[in-house]
Order: sequence, then structure tokens, then C-alpha cells
Amino acid sequence: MLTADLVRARRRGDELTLTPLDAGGRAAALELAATLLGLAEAHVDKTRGELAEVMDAVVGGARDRKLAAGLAKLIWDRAELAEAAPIDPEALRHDVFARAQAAWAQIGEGDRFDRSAVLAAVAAERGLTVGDIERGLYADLRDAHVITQLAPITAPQLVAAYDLAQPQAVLLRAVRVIVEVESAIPGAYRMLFRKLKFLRLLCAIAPRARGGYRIEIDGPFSLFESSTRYGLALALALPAIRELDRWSLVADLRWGTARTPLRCRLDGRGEPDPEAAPHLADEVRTLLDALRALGTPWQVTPAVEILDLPGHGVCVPDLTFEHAQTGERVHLEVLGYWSRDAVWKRVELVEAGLPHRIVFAVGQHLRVSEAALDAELPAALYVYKRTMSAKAIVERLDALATVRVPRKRGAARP
Amino acid sequence: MITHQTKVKERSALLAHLADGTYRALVTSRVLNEGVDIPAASVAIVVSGSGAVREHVQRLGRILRPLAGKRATLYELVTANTAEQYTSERRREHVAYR
Repeated sequence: MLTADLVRARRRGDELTLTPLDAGGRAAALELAATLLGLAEAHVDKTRGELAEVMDAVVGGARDRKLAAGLAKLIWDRAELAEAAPIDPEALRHDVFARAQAAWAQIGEGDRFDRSAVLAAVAAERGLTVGDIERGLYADLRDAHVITQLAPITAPQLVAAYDLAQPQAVLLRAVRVIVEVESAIPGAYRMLFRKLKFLRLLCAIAPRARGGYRIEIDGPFSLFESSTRYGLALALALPAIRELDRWSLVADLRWGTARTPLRCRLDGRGEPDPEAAPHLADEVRTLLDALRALGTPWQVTPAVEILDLPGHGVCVPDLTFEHAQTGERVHLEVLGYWSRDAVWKRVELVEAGLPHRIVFAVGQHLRVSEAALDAELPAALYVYKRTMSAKAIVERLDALATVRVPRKRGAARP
Repeated sequence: MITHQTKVKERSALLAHLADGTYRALVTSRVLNEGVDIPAASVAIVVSGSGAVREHVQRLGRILRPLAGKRATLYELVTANTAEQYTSERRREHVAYR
């Protein structure tokens, strides 16, 4: 991921516009990417300090430093580093220093302190070479960490990743993002919604009158504490958004150290995301397994429906339950622990007459009471501590199964 | 040697060794400017520093912890006829240095 200072953007008034690479810039980027990748590949098994030195030299000498620094950052993100310290550096240092101290104590007037003699003595005692000692003495420092692996990538792929990383870096500074999407394939929406759920993003989805959907996503800067993890999740949603036939996005930002309120607009048409794969979030997957192991009459499957209350909004459940005997259906949406606001939006949706039974699972530290939803409503809140309990959810399913569901609006005909 | 990268455990071990005489000298960066108490330390050599009076007084404070029969000495390494001379004069504008 790129940091804000590596984003190529121009400010005009309160509008931030990304400046894409022009033909010349792209050619330069490809060349720089190839050079930097070559250096990085040649430095696998060498130290962070060694690679940093040569990379910094290339970045410093580049005509477009911001471009070079951005590419270098993306390469560093792909490197795995480890402390390579076969000898415990702390113990080794104590050995060497204590011996040096003893040597000092014996030194005569006019004698010189012999550093190499001290190192040689320690090396001999440990059955190592002086070189081993020199290398091992500060092997725990950051710059001495060894690059063990570099995730393979080609220069054109790196430049493509750089193109994507630009808007992603912008999203990391967002307070609110409004996305409008349009697709000819209905499945594409579901894929996108699933991805948003998988990333545990806080969003309100509403169908547009002229087709497509409008998605309002809370940005990391709207949370109590601006969370890097949440920002990263938002950035990861961008490849999924870019896949839709037509998409546009308006992000309200807090830009720079002054956190200046700016607005950034992006749009595009169907760019396939090669790494796309619909998933279930880990906690939902764990819950699904636990529910199946419980052996209740409730048959559980990952949800495929989008629950829509025209004029009020949309709710995308995570799991759908169907009772083996009665055929009653209940949905479950895991809201997790990001924001209370998201919970209140769901409560409003239910109170407005959402024609489905649904349980919302909410993390305890959002301090929402389960009593926030009336018992006559076809929805229930389940407040959980750390992990969701399959048993507690089944209890709520049983209770909801007896509650009346409002009739679908527009379904009634004269 | 103690720098910002030295972990807390090793830091306290190094300081303990300095206090009990196992080590005779310690090289450090700004991280030891304040908050460390080694009564046995009697000589400080400032190799580099800013013109800040506050920082310099705090550094002096490291060797001014009382111990019977101790005489504390602070040396400054300054290159003559360079900006360092001016910086050194500036940071000594405090009663502690008069």
C-alpha cells in the first residue's frame, strides 16, 4: 500500500484529482520497475540495509522521485524479512564488551587497545571466525534483517499494482465513500456485496431508480479511532468495485497532516480483478461449521439473497437458515464490532417493515442492548463477547420463527 | 552502546553493568538524555548536540548524581572555527555552566 505522500494528485479547491501516468511516465515506470525489481531479486538472502542503500540510490537519481519511491515501496511490501541471528546477539555483545573491559584494565601506559585481539579471543572461545563475530554482533538491528523471500511479480504487473495503489492510498484517508455501480450481470452485484461483507466494511446499500446500486461506505476516518486495519479493508474493496461494468466513486477525505477535508472522484468500466474469489469471513466460516456440527433442524447455508425494503435500503445477510420441518426462513447478518451506527441503521430498516426474519450479531463493546429491537418485530439482536455462539443463535432462530413477518410491500394486488 | 533500537531488557542490563563496574564506559545517542540515574558515572563526553539549553542541562544532569568523593567532569568535543563552536556556546547559556 502506498502512503499519502506517494500519491500523484493535484489539488484544486477542495477537489483532489489523481494524475494518472501519461505515456512517457508509463515508459519510465516500466523501466524503473524493471531496475528496482532486478535489484530486489539480486538481494534475496542479503540484508535490508544493503538493499535499501541501492534502492535509495536509484530512487534518488530518478527524474520522477515520487514514482520511483512508490514503486520501491510496493516492492518492499512484497519482501519478507527475518532476523538472521544464529548467535544470540545480546549474549555475544555482553561477551565481547566484558572481554574488552578486561583488556582495557590490563593496558599499560602508551599501549593501544587492540580491538581485533578481543574479537579473535571471543571467536576462538566460541569456535567461530572473527567474521562471524563481526556479523553477529548487531544481527538484531533492523538494517541487518535478511530478505528471505520476494513475492514474484513482473515489471508490467508492478506498474499495474502501482496504478491500483494510487486510488487505494486515497481511500485510506476517507471519512465516507459513495460508490455507484451498474452491471448487466446480476451475479456481479452479489459478488461485490459478498466481498464488502467479507471485508467487514460498514455499508448501506440502496438500489437506484435507474438501475444499479448506490453504496455508502464508512471510511476509516469516521471510526472512533481511525483504524489502519479498516482502511486496508476499504482499499481491498476497490479491485472488486472496479470489476463492475460501470462504477463511480466519490470519497470524502481528510488529506495530509492537517487533515484538510477534500473530495476525490474516481470512475471506470469493468477491469477484471485476477485475484477475485468470493469468500466467507473467517468468523462466519467458523460459525457456519459450529452450526452444522450442532445438528439442529435449522439448515444453514451462506446467504445469496439481498434483502430489499424499497425506499428504505438493503440488507445483505451472511447466512440463511431454513427449518427442515416448517420451511421457515431466518437470515443472519454479522455486524461485528466496527460501529454502532450500522446497528441503528439495521434497527430502522426493521422498524420500517423489512419483510424478512433476521438476526443481527453485534459485538459486545458497541454497547448495544438486545432490547433495542421490540419482541414483536421479526428481527433480533444477538450481542456476543468475542466469538459468536452457535447455540445462542439457534435460540434466537427458534424465538423468531413464531413472530409474524410484515407482508411484502407491492406484493399485495387488488 | 545504547540506541533507540536497543530493547528495554538489554538497556537495563547495560546500565546495571555500568553501575556495578563490569563496563567502564557507555556510548549512547539521545535516548539517555533524561531519566537515567547512574551515580557512579563521573565523566561525560558530548560528541554531538544541538544548541538547545534544555537538552544540554539534562545531559549534564546524568553525571551530577551525588556519590561520596566524586568529582564530575563534562567534556564537549567541538571543532574550532566551525558552526559547532557557536552551537556549543549557545547551549551553555544556563546558570549550570557559569
